[in-house]
Amino acid sequence: MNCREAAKFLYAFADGELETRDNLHVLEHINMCPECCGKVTIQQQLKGAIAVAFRDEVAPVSLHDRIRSALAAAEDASVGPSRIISLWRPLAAAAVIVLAMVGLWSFQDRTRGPAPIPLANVQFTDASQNARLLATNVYTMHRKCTLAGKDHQDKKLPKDGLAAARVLCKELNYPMLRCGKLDANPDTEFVSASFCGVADCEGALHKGGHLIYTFKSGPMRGRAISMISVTHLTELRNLNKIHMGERDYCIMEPTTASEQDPATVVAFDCPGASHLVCLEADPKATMRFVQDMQPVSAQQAEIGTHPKLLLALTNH
Amino acid sequence: VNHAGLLGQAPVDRDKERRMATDQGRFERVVMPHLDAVYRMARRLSGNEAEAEDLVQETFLRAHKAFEGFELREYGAKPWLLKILHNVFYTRMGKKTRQPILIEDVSFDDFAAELDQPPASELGSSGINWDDFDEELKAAVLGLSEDYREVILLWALEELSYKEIAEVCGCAIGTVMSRLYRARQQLGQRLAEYARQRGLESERFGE
Repeated sequence: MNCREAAKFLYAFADGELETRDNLHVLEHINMCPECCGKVTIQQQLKGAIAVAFRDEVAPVSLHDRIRSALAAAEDASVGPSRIISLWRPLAAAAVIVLAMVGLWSFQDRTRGPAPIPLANVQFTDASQNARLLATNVYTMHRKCTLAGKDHQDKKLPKDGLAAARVLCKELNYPMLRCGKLDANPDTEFVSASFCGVADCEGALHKGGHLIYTFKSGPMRGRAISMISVTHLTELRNLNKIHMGERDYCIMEPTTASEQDPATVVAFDCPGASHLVCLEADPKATMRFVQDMQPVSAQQAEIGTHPKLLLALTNH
Repeated sequence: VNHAGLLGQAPVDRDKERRMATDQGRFERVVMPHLDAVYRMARRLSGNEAEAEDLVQETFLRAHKAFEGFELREYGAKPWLLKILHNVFYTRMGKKTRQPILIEDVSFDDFAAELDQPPASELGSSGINWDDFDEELKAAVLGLSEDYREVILLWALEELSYKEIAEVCGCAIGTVMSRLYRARQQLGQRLAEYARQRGLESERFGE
């Protein structure tokens, strides 16, 4: 690839929007070409500079009040009709559940693997005993590590999510899970990385790498998200799975989570490792992040010498 | 090994009921935190504060009405609200809201065709002190046409992906890429002009 060919990919590359294959080609060129590398950096800076220029603007307090009043008025106006409708709601809910059950049964019956289910239709979490046990083990480990705060950080590992993931996957010799959105999101902050493992349902321990982020602002402020990657957990084979995109996910709620403090564990297998994501939020919010997660292999870690470029590589 | 509860009947039921009972609380938790983001966009789309406030109010009223059928997993709350805002804004402008079209044309070749002519001017590769250009950058963004200004702000300020921007604007991903490309070109040209006016070396901007 020469500069002219690279030019048409540079913006999308800088934005982390390229497919892996195109990304690798551009990356190869950029590693050799300081000029194109500089253009990528400038585009990333431009994005940041625009955000800085406009982000301080907030809605006036009077607008908050005005909208709440308008919403309350709209709510009052709809009380009449909605009461009538509400009589039918339980029936409608039951119908939806029956439909969902039919869908699930037929999805189990298939021998050639489940058909993709659109995300919008996924309504359940895995309630099997093994799923709950595994989810509770993962959540317990997650809580133990997050409560340790910055003390959880392993001294041998870099204090940066991306760099830590690279070292972890080299040390452990299997892929670690990365989510570019966590690094790019102004609401989240990397906290720590360490060598931690989880117990499976039989109580056997599996060593792995653990990356922790917290939300420092936004609706999930104060909550943590963590990714634990271990060698394949045979356990996952026996759990109920939902097929979305290219992967099968096990979505589970730990028994220790409550309605006030929800937590969800999502597990899935990728070549080389099983990945467990724990977010202190409901399944929907958790899946929003999990779907953006991509494993970083040792090979990709070798290629990415520039942190921003590796981010672009993994965040597609 | 117990596989008896594999299908998890009970959670389906409970989850659904819980969701309905707490719709109001959910709206407060899921939608209201984005009021600032919606206001920022409305302010920069409309160009004036009073109109921005009207746009935000209408957006939230519509969102409230449609909230019951809203699925977080399908659509993040912020892109969903910004899409409503987009529609409210263009309806008010008297412009026909763009018909949603099938988002299939992700092809780079389509988009790349317009890149055959190398740009006359763009941000180069050398260092820029962005702090010096804060006001100019703001003015340059506000000087863009609505279409370009909207994608630039959705991209940089709200950090939406190309796919999310396409959904918000009801256009194809190729269109988003093309608008972003041209908008960035125009910003580059304007910043280069500002730099010239200030008597800085234009080489810094790769001209």
